[in-house]
Amino acid sequence: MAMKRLVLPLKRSRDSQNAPIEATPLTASGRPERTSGGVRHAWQRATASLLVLIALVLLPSLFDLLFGDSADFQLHRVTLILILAIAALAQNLLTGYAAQPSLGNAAFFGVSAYLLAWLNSDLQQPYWLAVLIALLACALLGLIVGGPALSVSGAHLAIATLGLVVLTGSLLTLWDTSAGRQSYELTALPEALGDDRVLYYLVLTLTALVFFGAFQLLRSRIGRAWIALRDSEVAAAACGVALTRYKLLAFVVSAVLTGLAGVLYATWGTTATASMSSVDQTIAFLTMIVVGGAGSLSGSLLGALFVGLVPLLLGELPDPLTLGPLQLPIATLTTGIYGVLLLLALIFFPGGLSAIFSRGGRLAQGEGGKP
Amino acid sequence: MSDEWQTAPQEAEAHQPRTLLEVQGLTVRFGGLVAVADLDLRVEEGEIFALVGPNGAGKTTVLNCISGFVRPSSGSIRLAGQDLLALGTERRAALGIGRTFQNGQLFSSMTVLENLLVGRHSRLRAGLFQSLLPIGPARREEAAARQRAREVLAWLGLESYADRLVATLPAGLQKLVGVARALAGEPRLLLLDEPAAGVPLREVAALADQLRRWNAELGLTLLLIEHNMEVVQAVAQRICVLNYGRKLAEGEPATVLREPAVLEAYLGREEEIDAREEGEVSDHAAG
Ligand SMILES: Nc1ncnc2c1ncn2[C@@H]1O[C@H](COP(=O)(O)OP(=O)(O)O)[C@@H](O)[C@H]1O
Ligand SMILES: [Mg+2]
Repeated sequence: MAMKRLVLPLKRSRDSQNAPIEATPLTASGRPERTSGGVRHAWQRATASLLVLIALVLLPSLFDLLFGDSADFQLHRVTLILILAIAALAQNLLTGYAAQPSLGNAAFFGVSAYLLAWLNSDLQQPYWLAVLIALLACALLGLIVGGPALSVSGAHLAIATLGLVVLTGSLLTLWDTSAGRQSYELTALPEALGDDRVLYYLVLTLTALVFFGAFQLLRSRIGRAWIALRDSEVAAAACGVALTRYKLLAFVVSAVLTGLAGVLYATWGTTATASMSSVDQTIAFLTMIVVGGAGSLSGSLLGALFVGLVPLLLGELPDPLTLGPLQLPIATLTTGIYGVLLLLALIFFPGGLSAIFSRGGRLAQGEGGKP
Repeated sequence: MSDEWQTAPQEAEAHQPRTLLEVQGLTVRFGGLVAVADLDLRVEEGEIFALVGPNGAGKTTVLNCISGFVRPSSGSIRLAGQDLLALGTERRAALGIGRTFQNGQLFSSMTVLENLLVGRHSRLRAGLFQSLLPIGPARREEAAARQRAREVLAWLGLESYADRLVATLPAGLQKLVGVARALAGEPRLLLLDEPAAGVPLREVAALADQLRRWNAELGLTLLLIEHNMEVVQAVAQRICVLNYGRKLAEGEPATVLREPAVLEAYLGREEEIDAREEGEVSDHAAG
């Protein structure tokens, strides 16, 4: 391939008397293969996201047509999926992008919910102030816990952070017991949030903002630094990425987003329970990103949809479910199903649902299934 | 952003060479193994300096000390007079030390262009909150960085690969992307670990031309490890031969590569290797 004489935008010849050295491409062989078509791809994604958003905005009206009187009830269920999507995204940023196998997010999920309940219901603080304080507390807690946790890596990080979840769950239970209650009821929520439609649109707005922010972040030096340290820590460091700082940043961002999901979850169910900080909850978070697709934004949404639908479908069954001599609590069954999904996805669909979808898309365009 | 390669030396300084990298008494021990022993090196601004020696001589370890991956047992390393050993790897990158790796270490899930953008990481400033927004200073900085990265790619003849996923490129091209990523950070000192390894033989001469071109046109100081003596002789102004972590000889390639001690280090090892291979063969035959 003939190379044109290169324009040298960067050059500053050290010795102008030197004859310019002819550019000799190392890549003389063959023309470039087809590119991934970056621009077209970006447009497709933007269009798809916009369509999903429009569909979600119109969903309440659609539900009115479909379900009539039970529309609000059905909408309430969809709201849960949107809340879970924020938690899935939080786990995905930390584990799917920044490659930190932390299992600690359920700790922040519970803590933020309890803080909201305490500040809003007991201390009678305004809802949004309580939310803000809960999120700040998650950031602070993430900063404090993240430093030592991230100094160990791999399996050790996973175990240490799982320990954090179990500890947090115990403390929250202890708080409940000593206050003499089963769970923490949110009794002073703003009245408007009692309206399923208002809550839906509030959650939809927040979820959309969070996903849009994540989309921007992943296309900035910060998001790229996370992906870089996932692909090669040494190369990332050699490029100037301060590894510890960026891992900690991922941990804190993830903690705050999980905290947001936590306060919304408590608002949605008008209660905070210690089971929000449990191993079961951790498994639900993991299932969302593994089934949906680690390192994929759309995967976070798909994973939440999947994980949100399981208890929804199982909710139709009697609790506990009687199978012959077996008395199976639905909660146990749910976690069991997540476990099986987790295994199946890891073994058969390492890319998760999002990879299956995009492969389908590529097949449809006749580009072959190979990524 | 400035139009000029920010590391280009001042015209006035071009005549009198300045020491860019100074390594003194560098010793690295891995347990009982002395990988580098009391090594002194001096790389002048704007020169091409090659580190050669048999496998296991400690060459990569020297580069690792300079870029901060290995903490030496003793010695000092200075870049333009500044002590490097107190600084972390990322701070050294910000000071203008670029680097490629023997085994590539590319960001394989990213496109070529994105690899270069990470290579520019320490020149970008955008913080968390700015980065969340679709407009504003972070996006302007990003656009300028992309422009710059494309210029580097064009300069290396790689522009048509900008949006390709690195994992889908042939090995020779990946090597070049590794260099492009380092160049995108506009380093003053570029450390290259065996750039010609894995490059097809017919392209090695082109690679040598490239090395000279980066040096001449960017005013870039190169410290490279290279096994291919053709490349070394073609590009290096000075070389240092390492053997078992010790400096065996230093000077102009033509003279150094003729020294008996150097020849012996290479030939001796080769005989060793030959002998071992023969032994293995006969072992197999016996078994
Ligand atoms: N991180 C390390 N830990 C232990 N030994 C190492 C490490 N890095 C290199 N070595 C050893 O140090 C010696 C020099 O290695 P290296 O610098 O990679 O040699 P070269 O690049 O010249 O082939 C080898 O014997 C190698 O096994
Ligand atoms: Mg080596």
